[in-house]
Amino acid sequence: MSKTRNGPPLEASVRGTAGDRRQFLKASLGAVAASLLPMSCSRLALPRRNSLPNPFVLDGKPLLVVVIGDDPATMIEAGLEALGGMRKLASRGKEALLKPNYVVGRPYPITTALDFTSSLVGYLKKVGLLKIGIYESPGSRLFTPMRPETNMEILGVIAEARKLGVEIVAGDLFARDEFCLVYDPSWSMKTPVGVHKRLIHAGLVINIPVLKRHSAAGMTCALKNHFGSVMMADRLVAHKQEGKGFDRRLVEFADAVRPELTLVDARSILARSGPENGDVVSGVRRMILSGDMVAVDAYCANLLAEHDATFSPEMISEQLRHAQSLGLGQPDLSQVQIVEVTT
Amino acid sequence: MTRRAQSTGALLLGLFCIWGCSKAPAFLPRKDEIQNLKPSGSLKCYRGQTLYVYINGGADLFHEYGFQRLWVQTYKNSDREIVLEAYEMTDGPGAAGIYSHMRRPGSEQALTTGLASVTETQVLATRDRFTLVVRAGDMLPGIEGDLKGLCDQVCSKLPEGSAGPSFLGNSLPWEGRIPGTEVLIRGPLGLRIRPWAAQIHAEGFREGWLASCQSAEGDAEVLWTKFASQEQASKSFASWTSQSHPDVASALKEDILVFAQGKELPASFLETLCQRILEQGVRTP
Repeated sequence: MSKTRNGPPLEASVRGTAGDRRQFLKASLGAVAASLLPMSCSRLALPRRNSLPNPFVLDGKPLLVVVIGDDPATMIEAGLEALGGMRKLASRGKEALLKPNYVVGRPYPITTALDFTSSLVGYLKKVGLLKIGIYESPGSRLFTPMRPETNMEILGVIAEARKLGVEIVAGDLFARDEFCLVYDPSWSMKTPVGVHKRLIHAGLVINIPVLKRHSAAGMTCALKNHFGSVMMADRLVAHKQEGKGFDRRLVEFADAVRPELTLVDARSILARSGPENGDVVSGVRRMILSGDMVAVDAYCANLLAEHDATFSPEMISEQLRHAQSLGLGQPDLSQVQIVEVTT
Repeated sequence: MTRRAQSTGALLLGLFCIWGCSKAPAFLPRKDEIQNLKPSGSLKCYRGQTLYVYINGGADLFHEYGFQRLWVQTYKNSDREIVLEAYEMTDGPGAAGIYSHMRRPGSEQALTTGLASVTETQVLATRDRFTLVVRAGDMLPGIEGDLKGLCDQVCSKLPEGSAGPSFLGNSLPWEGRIPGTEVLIRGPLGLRIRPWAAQIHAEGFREGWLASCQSAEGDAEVLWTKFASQEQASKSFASWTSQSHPDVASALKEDILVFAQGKELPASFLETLCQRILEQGVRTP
């Protein structure tokens, strides 16, 4: 059993093969090393973020928790406890960076709900995390109307963060020096992706997307949420890809970041059309939690289809197939341990 | 990228954003023309690719319909905020097309200045080369009157143009067509409007029309598509027919491919419907 600089002993309960364990140790040590480095990037492309292999597994299968309820604080606590608790991520240190969806200045479920984010911050502090940041990059400081802080101001996130003592990391999507180039040879596009430095160097990244329709991607949830993690040039190049190229590239953005944990607040969802103008479906009363982004998207695609006759999970099949081929997770829900919790 | 290249890029982007955006458009109501509402904050304008900064992934669909410029102005009544978005497209059909894609079926009603798609929190309209979205900033109901009033005020200053909502119905001479269900599709992304249509091989796809049709057998959805060439239409048809698509029939004639979809409807009925739509075609303006 190893000890890390910041946390308690590594979880002995992490299951898997010897190879998995080696990968796990390598990733944990990598995270510690990354935390000691200054926030810089080399001019050469880095490998994808040194994340922790999914520690939330049961009987060799990724665990996915579905919480039914209304109160976000209760749902988050019940969900994370059912998942095994934040102690499974203790090796990543005492700092976390949240990646919400603040693509526009319009309220939930178009963007991540403020009460959800506040409740999550409250829980993370309660279980001992010392420093929490919220990262999003929806604009640029080149021009005042496009400032990256604007959406977060409109949504009340900045004021709330000040109250909670949370750092706001508003990335400038045009500022090349805020991003590190990341590349993996298994990607379909043989060019690197600019990923925001703060995400690359974060010990723990928690993905907090919403569930909604998307005109280009079919659906936006765990994987697609990482469009906001990369610089504008890469987003535009992805949008110019025809056919399945767009689906594959968005998966590669998520692969570059590989968050340790995803929580989807699906108390309400956006159906029929999106990512901005659609039909808000309230009363869905679900929160989905997992360390496996692919399982999350597979589950959420079924959930969306239940509430949106114009959507079918088949519409994101290429995303799930490509994500699985990159080793991002499990799209076959029969191979996922699904635990339902009612609050 | 060097500092100099970054600065040049920023300057070019700045010029690109400002060009054509420096003057407020005449259709925006003056302060004295709107009751209860006051402009709040500055007028924002997005041109071309800068739309991605405003709506990110949503921009793709607008570009398929020929997006040119977007004007955004926020208004306030006593305690609520209303956002006006005026999307300017290359032509009237493009504006009507994106309107048809965004409207909720069955939501259209006549305002003082013409038809609009109205929900509790949003009014959507199209006039000339413009598509207007007037929405409650907080997405909460209760200000429908103000939303409609502002939409009417802007529409009254725009020319009718050759398109508008009537263009959609007038373009489809299909027997049994249900008014208000027509959708003009201008690119492959638009085909994602239905799960079954998303499976169409879209290489060479140019334009499509989707609408619901009523008959004694039941309601069916029909999709008329035009390809860049007969060869590409044939390729798409071959790709489609090589797989099983329950509830969908298809028919090909030169560069036109027609699909009819209906759950639990007889295949023979759907095939006949396809042939009928192939004969009736689309009225191009």
